[in-house]
Amino acid sequence: MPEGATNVIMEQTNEIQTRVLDLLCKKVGAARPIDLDSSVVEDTGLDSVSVMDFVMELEDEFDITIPLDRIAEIRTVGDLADAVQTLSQVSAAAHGGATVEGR
Amino acid sequence: MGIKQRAKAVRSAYGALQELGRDPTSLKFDRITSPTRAILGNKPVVLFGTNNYLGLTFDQYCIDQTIEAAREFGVGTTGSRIANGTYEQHRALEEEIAKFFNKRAAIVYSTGFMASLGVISALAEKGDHLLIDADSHASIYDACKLSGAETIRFRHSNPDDLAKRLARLKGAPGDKIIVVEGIYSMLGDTAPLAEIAAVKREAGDDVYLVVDEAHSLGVLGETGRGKCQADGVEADCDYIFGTFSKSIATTGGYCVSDVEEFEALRSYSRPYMFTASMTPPTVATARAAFRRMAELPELRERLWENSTRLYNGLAKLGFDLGPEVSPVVAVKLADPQTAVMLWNVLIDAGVYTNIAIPPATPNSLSLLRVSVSAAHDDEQISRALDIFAEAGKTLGLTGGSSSLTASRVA
Repeated sequence: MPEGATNVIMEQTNEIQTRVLDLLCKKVGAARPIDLDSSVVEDTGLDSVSVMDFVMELEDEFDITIPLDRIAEIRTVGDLADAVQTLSQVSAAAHGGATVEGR
Repeated sequence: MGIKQRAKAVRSAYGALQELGRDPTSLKFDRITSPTRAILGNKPVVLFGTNNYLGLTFDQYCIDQTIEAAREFGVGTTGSRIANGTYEQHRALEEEIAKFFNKRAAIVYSTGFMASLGVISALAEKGDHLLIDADSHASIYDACKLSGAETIRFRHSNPDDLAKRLARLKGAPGDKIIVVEGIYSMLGDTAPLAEIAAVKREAGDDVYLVVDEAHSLGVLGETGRGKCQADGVEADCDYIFGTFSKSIATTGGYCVSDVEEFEALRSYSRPYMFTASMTPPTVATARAAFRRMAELPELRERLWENSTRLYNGLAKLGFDLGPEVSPVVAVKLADPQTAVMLWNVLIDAGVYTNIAIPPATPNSLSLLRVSVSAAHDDEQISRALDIFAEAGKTLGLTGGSSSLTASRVA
């Protein structure tokens, strides 16, 4: 993969991580400090239904589909951002947009 | 998480609530004496926490038919529908239900949960897409898992949100199957089914609509067929399923459809195939209750009169309620502790309600689910309102300006 493409992925990853973290912090409140290593359930105080509701917000924020079975595999906030990143690429490819995947 | 850790998690989540009085998770009725009365811990209570919408559990005709079936055909089938568990009576029940719904065919399951699980998991498979209302019943969530299909939630009763999520799937291979309920069991609100059906129609030929009428059968629609009938969209609802455990007063479940290949489900819907069929007495109760429901439309009228009276009465007392008049009246409370305290005070005073706390409720709500029956009489509703008024004042939940008939507590 050319160096330029790698940089594009890293920038997108950082941007997605920041947006996911910002949205989650807004939902959870300042009392609970959250970072990428935080557990989506144990460290946020959100119950299973609230986590699914938050995923709906992410679907709209990034205009993607995050199926429920995908949520079951997610443990940390970082995992969640990774899933958003992957699904954004799938979505872009499906809609004929530019993809950053290696060809 | 192992079984010991799970038990510990349950104790830490609910232990404190159990200490506030009765344990809501292990309540036992000593006797049930009518559709609306029971003995609980040696104390008479009026039942405002059932799903006995038409009050048919003690209907004499249903009882007689049930007893006769036990004598004539035995108390159980000891076999599944695809082995030795299909009797002439199961087929007759299916034919009667199909006729009642004016649909091509009906399939009967052993419980409502099995119907939900069996229908959804058979309609969708890996490669398909299930779009479910965010407030769907647990059986629908479990059915989605069992199906292996990609499952997406849309915002509760929000047709625009559904349309947006369907648009994201445009061009994706596989069927798109929408699942909604007629009446939602916790807050008693109804689905905007006409609008949802319109979204489905516009979305294309590979989009299907499945409606769970568990709480709306016998409750909504001109002849009690549910929300699909009330909204005039039965032709758009490809599969309608529900339960016999509420208006029909027994156990069992059903699905009806006009889809030509529908009955093929009998050969691959696992919750249909691999469980014992409905017993002869439960089949007889279901058939009798469908007949009574058709014969007695006044039960539905009475149910709505009672619902309106209880909803308006509780609203007047200052309780924060679900969004619309319904046989399920949800009293919203600040937190699980308040809900458990009010629940205990009401039982002490002779009114039994259902308690519902997160995560079994939408939006982390704590509530008392107060349900109405056609069998409630005026005095029972007056008495319940008086008791709610008193409890609301005692616990500081309402303004305390009750002008209700305080003397009628007997």
